[in-house]
Amino acid sequence: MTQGGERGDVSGLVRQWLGAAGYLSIFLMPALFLIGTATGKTWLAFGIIVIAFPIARIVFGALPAAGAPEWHESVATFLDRLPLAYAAALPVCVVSALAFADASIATDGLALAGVGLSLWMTLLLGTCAAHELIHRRNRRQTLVGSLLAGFCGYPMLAMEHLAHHARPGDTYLAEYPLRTESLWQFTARRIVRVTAEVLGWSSALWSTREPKPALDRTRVALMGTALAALGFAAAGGLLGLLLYLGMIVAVAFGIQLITYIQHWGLGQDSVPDRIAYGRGWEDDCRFQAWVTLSVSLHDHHHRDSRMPYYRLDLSPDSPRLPAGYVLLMFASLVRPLWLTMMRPALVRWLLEPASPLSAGRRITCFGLDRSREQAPV
Amino acid sequence: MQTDSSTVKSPSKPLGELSSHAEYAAHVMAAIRRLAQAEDEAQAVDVLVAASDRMGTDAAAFVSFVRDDPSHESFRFLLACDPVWCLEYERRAWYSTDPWLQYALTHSEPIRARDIPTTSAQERSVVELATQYGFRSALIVPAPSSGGLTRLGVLCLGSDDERFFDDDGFLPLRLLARTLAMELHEWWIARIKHELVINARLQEEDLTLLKHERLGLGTKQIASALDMSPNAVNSRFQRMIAKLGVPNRKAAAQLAAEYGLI
Repeated sequence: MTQGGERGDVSGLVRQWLGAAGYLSIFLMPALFLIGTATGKTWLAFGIIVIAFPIARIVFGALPAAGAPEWHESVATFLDRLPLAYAAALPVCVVSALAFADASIATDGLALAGVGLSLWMTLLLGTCAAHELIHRRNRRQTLVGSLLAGFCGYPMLAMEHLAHHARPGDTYLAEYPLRTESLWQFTARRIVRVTAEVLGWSSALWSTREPKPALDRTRVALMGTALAALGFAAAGGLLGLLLYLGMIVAVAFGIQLITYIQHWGLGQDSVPDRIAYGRGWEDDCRFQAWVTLSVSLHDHHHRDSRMPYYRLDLSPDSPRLPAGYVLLMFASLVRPLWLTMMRPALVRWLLEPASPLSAGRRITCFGLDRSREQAPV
Repeated sequence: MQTDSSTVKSPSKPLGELSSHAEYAAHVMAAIRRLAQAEDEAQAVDVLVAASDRMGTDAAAFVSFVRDDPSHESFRFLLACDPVWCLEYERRAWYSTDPWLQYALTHSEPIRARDIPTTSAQERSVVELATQYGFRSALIVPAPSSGGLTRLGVLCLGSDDERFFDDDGFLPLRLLARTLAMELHEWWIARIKHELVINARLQEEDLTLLKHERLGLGTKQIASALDMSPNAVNSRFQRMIAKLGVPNRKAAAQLAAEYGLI
């Protein structure tokens, strides 16, 4: 090896570490929640998400055109362990934040609302790391993922999500939303079905006579939820416990909301001939891929669910979201606005799947290919 | 992935009567032996159909899957029964609530399906669905793995006769079913091993590297043993771990061992 070659290797490795450092942004929300609560600026984490995240798509740009890097072993190993470190850090940050919060927050409605919204976003993003871990080959890591999902307030994640992968395009069981239903209808239908299936009285979960290895994940997740409830109660008393109960409802809603964004218009009612593995909307935003651990590269994830987040890339023929998750979260709440944004994107993908059009580096892309808006979906 | 062969069956004869025939075992074994020549799933299904038919059962299914695979992507089916059963099963994603699969995860002995307890409504629904498609009574035959392999198999033999597996013929059938299950299991392992090599474009040199890694050798030792430079060893490992979708060479060697590649 020449000296120049060695220098090239070293600079390549440094570039890889710099690229990999972007994924450290998953720690941003727990840190912001901790800082915000400790300093009385309870809206900090939520405010950053709403204002700074859309801007970050412009600042950090698109995913590299060359695809995911062929990570050096040391970098890949670091990235592989990152969700595990996060699973340890999130509960510590959240419970510490509540324990050290100013007592005056409890009597200030506005501050309390800030805590609620910031915590909702923090825990919702926490489920991204849980999601990554529950797909792992390693059994212990899947259990850590389940525990984390439980802490985030959604112990059904593992069972629900893995069934979601096993039923590609299924609108009947609300694995995918019907194109004609609103977020609210989809959420109600899915929550009822999933809760009955995973936690209902007919579930095998409550059977104690025989060991059921596949149900361990849900049991561990429920343990995570119970521990979190205890932690919130210990740190914040009755108010802390009520806050956590509210989070359980809010995170469950948030998970359905994200599912709606990821799969609207891609179910068997819309594209029955294209459901080979379960299609998903993708976004080429680099920052969004970092902060969600590539949940935004959803089509590729459905094609190969065992592929770790740091090796995922945009699928060459995936449907592309017309804006980032944050804007679409708000848009999905109002159906006319949702359709205004999503219909043109869906029409374009149906007509030209081989040349998908990403949202670009604008904050919004309401005008994306509007010429096709009137085409039949 | 599923492969099936629907056949029209004549009503079942009692198992005792079938197995008392002098050539019963020889006929079944002759069918099983053909598996060694099966080059694809369709040919393997033919073997399953023939073996099931000669054993006297009305339906048969073999499921091969990886332990701790919550994604269910590792599941492979060979069906000598109505394929609608499998489609319904997959559509409802009943893997984790299937008492027969759960039994195979923790046991190695063949068992009559009715002796496996069903303790929830979901589990009873799974069994009820099987009943509708030729498994009114069933024999569940696990095909376990050893030596670090994580893939398991389960053979389900079914009959429309509720008492089919209860008479004197059960013991010889149990032996033959176990043989069939293990042969099908080995066949899948070999096939999936081959698929991994092709999909990940692994070469003989890659497998040699993985074997050395599995032995705990470091880069310099591997380089010296294989007459390569340490940089060449590292870059080869780096390409290989990317293709296998794992973080490092240790995980790559673990995966290769689980698939029986090394």
